[in-house]
Amino acid sequence: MLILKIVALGPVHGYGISQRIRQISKEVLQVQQGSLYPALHRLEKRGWLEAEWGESDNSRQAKFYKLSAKGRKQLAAEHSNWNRLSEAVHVIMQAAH
Amino acid sequence: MWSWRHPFRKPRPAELDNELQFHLEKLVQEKIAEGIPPDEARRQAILDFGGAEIIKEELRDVHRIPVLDAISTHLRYAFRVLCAKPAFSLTVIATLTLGIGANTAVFSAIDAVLLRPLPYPNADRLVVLHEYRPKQKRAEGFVAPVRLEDWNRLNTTFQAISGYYTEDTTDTTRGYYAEDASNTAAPLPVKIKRAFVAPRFLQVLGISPALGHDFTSADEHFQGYAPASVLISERFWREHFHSNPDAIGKPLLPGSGSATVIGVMPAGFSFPAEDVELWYLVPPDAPYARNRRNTWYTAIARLRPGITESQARANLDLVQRQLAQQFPATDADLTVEVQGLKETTVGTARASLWLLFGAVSILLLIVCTNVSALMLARGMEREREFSVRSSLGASRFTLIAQVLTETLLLAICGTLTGLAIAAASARVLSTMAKSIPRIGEVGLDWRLFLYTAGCAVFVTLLSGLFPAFRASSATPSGALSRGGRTQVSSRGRAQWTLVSIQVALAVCLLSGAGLLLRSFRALWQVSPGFDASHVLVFRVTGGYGETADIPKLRQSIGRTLDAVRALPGVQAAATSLTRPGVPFGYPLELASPDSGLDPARKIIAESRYVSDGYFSAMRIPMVAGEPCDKHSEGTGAVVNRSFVSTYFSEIDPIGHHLIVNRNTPGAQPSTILGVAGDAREAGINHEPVPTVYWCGLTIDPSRAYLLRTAGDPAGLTNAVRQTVHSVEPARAVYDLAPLPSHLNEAFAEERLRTLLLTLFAVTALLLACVGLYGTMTYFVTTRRREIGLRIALGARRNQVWLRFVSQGLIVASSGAAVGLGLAAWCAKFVSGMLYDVPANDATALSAAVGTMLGVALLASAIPAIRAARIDPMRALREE
Repeated sequence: MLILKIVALGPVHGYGISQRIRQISKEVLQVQQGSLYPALHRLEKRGWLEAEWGESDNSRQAKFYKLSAKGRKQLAAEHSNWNRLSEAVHVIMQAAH
Repeated sequence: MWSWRHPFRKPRPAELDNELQFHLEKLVQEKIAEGIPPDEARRQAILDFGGAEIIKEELRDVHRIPVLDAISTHLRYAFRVLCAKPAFSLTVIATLTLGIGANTAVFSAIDAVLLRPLPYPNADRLVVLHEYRPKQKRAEGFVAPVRLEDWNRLNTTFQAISGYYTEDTTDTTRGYYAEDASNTAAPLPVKIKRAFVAPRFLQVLGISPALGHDFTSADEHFQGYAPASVLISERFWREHFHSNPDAIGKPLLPGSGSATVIGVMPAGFSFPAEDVELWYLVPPDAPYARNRRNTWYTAIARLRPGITESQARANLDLVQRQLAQQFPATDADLTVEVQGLKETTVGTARASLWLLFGAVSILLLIVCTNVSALMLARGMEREREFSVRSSLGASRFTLIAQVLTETLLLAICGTLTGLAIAAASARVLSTMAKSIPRIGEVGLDWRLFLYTAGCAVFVTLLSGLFPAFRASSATPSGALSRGGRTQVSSRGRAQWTLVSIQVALAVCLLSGAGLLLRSFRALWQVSPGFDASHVLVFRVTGGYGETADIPKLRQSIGRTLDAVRALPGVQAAATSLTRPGVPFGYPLELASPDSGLDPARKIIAESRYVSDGYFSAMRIPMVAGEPCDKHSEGTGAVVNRSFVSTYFSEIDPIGHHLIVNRNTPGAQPSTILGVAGDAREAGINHEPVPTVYWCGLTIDPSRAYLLRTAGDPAGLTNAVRQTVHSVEPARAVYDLAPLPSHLNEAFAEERLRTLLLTLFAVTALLLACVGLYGTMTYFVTTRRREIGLRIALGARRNQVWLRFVSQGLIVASSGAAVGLGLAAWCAKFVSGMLYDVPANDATALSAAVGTMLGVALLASAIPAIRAARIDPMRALREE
């Protein structure tokens, strides 16, 4: 879900994704390359991501990932799921006080 | 532009490299930006990044489809294993080819004849309608043109109703009454089959002419006896108009009075018969078509969408009741029969084809069992290999999959060669089985491919599963420690069971073939009541229109008859409407008002229309009275002995009168002149039934001429053609052959299924014997040491020999016993096809068992003798 959310912001390469997750989560979350790339490829295979080779900022070839229409739907679904779940957890935690 | 990527596309290794490399570069740059020197930055980045190779491996896993990988490994290994033992592989493939080839060939016939729809749009809605007289319990068959029009107008369940009849003629130009001599350009006139159809004929079939147009409403109104328009077949168009599109609008033949060609039918259109060349429309308002008693059409109709046959039948019955009130004299006792057109076309071939299919399926089962036994034997040889593999960690599933893959590979090879054989045999089949309708349509289609693919899977599972489980149960410790010294007697049971299954199935097939053979023999040994030898039969073309002038037609027939009687070598000649012994039923309801019989009792008798001299030409003896002669034409009749014993047992029939209840052309009462012996007129496979021979009555232009010859009837064919041509230059002679070959042709289907079933049964017998022989040989080979030891210890060679032969015979007889039970169950499928042989005929069954046991004895004796000759010293020293 996190990857989908990052990619939803615009076409981005693998390095960019790991950077952004780190930045946005204020260094709380770190994604290891060892799990990032298999995850990306899996998402691509499921058709949620589309990938294309493009030029990066320092004019090197890089693989850019972009959200597909199917991925957008999936993101929306997972987002609402997450909201429900976190809300539930939050309520339970409140009640336990 | 973002490209669409195929989900199964595997990324190239370089792409993975590039992607990861890029990430690494970025990390390095990041470190440098933090102020770390480049070399150190790179070192740290690589450390951070972790093992690139591991990631790449994981990425490849993401894109891998594990099942496919496993399958390709299995396939490659299986291929190597099979190539290593080419003799084994070829044996299995050849066996499978035989089984699958035969099965596919028969299925292709079933597909073409029974499964594929007729070649018309929505052909499942096409039906045939018959007039049915419930009181006489027989379908009238033909429909009167007026009634057909009434049905078409009054019903609510059909899109359209039409009809047709055909005639064999040389007359291509004019209509129903014309006798035309213009088509004599060829040395001898050529027979042409033409169809006369009711309106809406093509509309019912859902076909339109390939060129030109259908009949118009103008054609549906009577404008004179010569029809104005004609549709021609594609073949006729090719041969007579050189495929010139200008043919439309031209007269059929040069000269006046010829019908105009209005359309060319699509190539391959062959309704109602293969050889119809011309289609004419009969206007329903023509004077000769208005009599409600004149029935001549075979009615075809197209159901409205969603209407079932029974709904249509109910609707037509309602219509017919209405007509019965309106025309009580002619329409009162009629109901309507509705039958699917395909059903009617296929007829009796259905039962024959399913019988053959059952036979080849049994053959395929034998093949599977055979292959299974081979694989089992092979699996025992490979026990070590499987043990090694399983001790190296191969799971049981992997081993099963491996054996199944090998079987599948063999099955695929067998299927492909089998398919090739089936395709080749389709041609042979369609020439051999001309009597089976639609057999010419045999060809490859998706259903056949699906079927053979199913066959391959079926064969794989059936013949591979058992050996696979056997092989996979190999334990690492067992086989490895025992090495090659194992005694396999405990494992022999499975193989012997397979052999006895083969024997059982083969006995079942042999019994079926035996029954059909016995029945076929009985058919030809029956005394038909007439003498078919030395009789030459032919027909002469003529149109139905000629029956309008009966005296003229009678003259013409007499002229031909006199001419052929004058031929040297002809002892007698006569005509009949039908060929004696060739199945044909024409029962009529009769009355005999002056005989004092109970008028309430119905007299129903087969009717035959014969000329003078018929009884002497066919050598049917007269029991009493006189036969037909020239003077009794149209006024006399002869009845057979069955007729007398059924209806006239108390009074002398001679001198009394018979009259056909309906107002057919034979309506005037005929005097019974004499009583003839019983003859199997209506088919040599039917008991003689009460029959009336009407002397000289002419109701049909087409008749069979029967010539009794002194020598070989076939030697007279040319003389007959020339003679008929000299007296009737405009008519063609056809169906010219000795009577026995007419009879042969009439029973071609019986012959074909007997022949094929026998062929399959013999193949089954051979396969079962090869199975027995192979297993016995294997058994002997694996026990060489034991036999050697026994002989060394003093066993007599006779004992050894006897032991193996009796083992073979025990297996064969237990199989045969099961086979007999199986045959008894299968007999109900053939019982309907048997003539004069009971389904539990002892001769056929014991012959089947005897043959099987005899051949089994032979097949087990050879390896047994070999066993008895084993040299103990060599056998024991071998290991």
